Amino acid sequence: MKIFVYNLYKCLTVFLLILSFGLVGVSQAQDEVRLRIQARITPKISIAFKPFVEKTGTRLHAAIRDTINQVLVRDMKVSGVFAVRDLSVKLTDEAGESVAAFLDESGEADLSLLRKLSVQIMVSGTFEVRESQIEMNLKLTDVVTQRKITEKGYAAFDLTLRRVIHRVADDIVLQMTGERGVAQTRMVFTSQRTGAPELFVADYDGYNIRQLTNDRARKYSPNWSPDGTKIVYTSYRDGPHELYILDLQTGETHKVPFGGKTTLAPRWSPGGHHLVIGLVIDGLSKLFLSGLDGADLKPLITSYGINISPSWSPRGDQVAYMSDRLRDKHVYVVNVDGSDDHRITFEGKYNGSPAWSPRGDRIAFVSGDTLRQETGRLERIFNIYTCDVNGGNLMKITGNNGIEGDNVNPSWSPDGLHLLFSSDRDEIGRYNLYVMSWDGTEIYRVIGDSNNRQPSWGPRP
Amino acid sequence: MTHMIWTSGLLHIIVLGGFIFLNMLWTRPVSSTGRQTYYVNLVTLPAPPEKQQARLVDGPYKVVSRKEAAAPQQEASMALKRTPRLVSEEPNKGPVTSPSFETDMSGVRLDVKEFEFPYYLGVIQRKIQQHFVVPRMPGVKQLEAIVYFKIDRKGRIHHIILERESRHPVFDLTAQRALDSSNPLPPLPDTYEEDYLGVHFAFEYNP
Repeated sequence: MKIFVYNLYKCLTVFLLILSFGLVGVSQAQDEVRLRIQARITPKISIAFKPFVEKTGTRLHAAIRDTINQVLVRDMKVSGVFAVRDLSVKLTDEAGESVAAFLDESGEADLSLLRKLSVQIMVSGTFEVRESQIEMNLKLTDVVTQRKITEKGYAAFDLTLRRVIHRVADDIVLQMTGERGVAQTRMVFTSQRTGAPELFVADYDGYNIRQLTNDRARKYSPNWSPDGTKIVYTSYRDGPHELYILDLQTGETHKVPFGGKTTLAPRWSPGGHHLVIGLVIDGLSKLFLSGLDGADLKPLITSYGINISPSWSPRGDQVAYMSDRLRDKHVYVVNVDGSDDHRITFEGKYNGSPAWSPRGDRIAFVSGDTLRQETGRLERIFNIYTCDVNGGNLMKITGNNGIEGDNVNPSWSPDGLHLLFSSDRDEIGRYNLYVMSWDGTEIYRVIGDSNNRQPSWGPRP
Repeated sequence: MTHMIWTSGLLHIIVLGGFIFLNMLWTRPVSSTGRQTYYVNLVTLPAPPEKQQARLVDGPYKVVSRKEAAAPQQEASMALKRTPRLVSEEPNKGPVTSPSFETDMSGVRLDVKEFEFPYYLGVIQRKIQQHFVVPRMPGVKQLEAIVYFKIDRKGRIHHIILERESRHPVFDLTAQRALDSSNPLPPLPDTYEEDYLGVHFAFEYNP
């Protein structure tokens, strides 16, 4: 009996030990989550573009006509909303052979052919040059019923022609989506084309580059005010690395003093009344909220380590930032009252430069992918990723076709459909600016010719 | 001796039980462990627009059956099985009392007799689809909710009414939220003369 009881006890003990270790195993397995996401592809709106023509009876202005047609087609394609079929280009088969023309000899579009190709809308228009003024007339037509959707007139001068064409493109996007496009927006960036990094501004497509500063002091981290009238940046102009605000309407610059402390990466709040900045204290960067005049300084992140690169949520209630408090650099999100500070990146050792999408649903950031070079040396290549605001649904959007240089400084377009970034993909060590669709499928170089970095996409006018 | 063995056994059980209990307490939520691993299937790249347009539709525009209703929005149906679509239903039962009419566009029933802008129905479907994110619902095979709403000239959505419930409250709420998030829709065509367009819109779940 005793032996039986003793054996029973041993069996029970072993069983409980197995059960216990089993539970430990389960709890460890819970640390690893396998997620699966399903592709959600929003179809583009199939739209035909019938090139603008000069009104009968006026002089030929081929250069103006070409500018209108080239800029408008490009704007529509880059919008990310349309699948554009340029009717001046003949329909081709799979071998690339031309099989049909969309326009007949009189310039009329073959709507039946467009219907067969499931094209829904046709853009067309005319222009007329009267003395120094260019008058354009835009017309949108339903291809199926041939009913006019809308018709609008625009007036421009030579110097404003591109800007007005951008407005035409934005109006087309508005008519088809209910939201304005971004063709009238601008970007600010630093460029070394005149020596030390100075601030430059350009249209969203890289045209009309204009120099904003010229004091030969290095400048960094420019960022637009929400109303587009001011730009905040940091500079060594007066010695220390401090914060400045440039008023684009008056051209005046004023310094926002923070006791001479080194100031880093200022970002304007969506409401326009606050800044989030990095201040270097005891050799470490800490994040603070501040009024536009430097008053009402409130600590946001003062934990150990370097805390830098803040980015506001579109509602202005949270801030994403980078911290190395756990040795590796990762992206964190915190409420503006300092609560609920949590980490959202877990892969790799370097994740930084977060940029919160204006739509509020995604955060873009830069991650350093470690690669082993042929020499056996480890080198870090930077690529842009996006994730949900809780870190889920991670998506690599540059570097998917092999090494494509470093891709850094992501900045969202106001509609959240595009990212502006700098990359040395065309020449190692020489950075240019590129615009890509939110999923990285379409990339356009917009600023070249120099070392151009730290772009910030401006708001809609 | 037996007494000692039973006492010893009991103590072991208590200790082991305590170990299991503490182990369960120490198991932190996954999101805070810092060891989360995501396996992500990157999205399929959208096909070039020209290829998406390859399907040829012969003949004049015509009325088609309800099953074919999504055909003009072929791209949308390719994109997602759970696609909201414009429906051609018999006059809807429910709180909507206004008369509804067939249109030349496939499977669309609207509050106006003449609506000559089929493009518009395609673009509003596209926009609503962008915001129609359905959580996976284990055990649920098929759902359909029909929502009626009015669009004003500026594209703003008014008078959202759940015309036909899906029998799954979460799904019905998701459908209505998709409409809220899509507001405003594209403005009505300038040459459309009415102040409003009434639409009956079906949201489907086909996992």
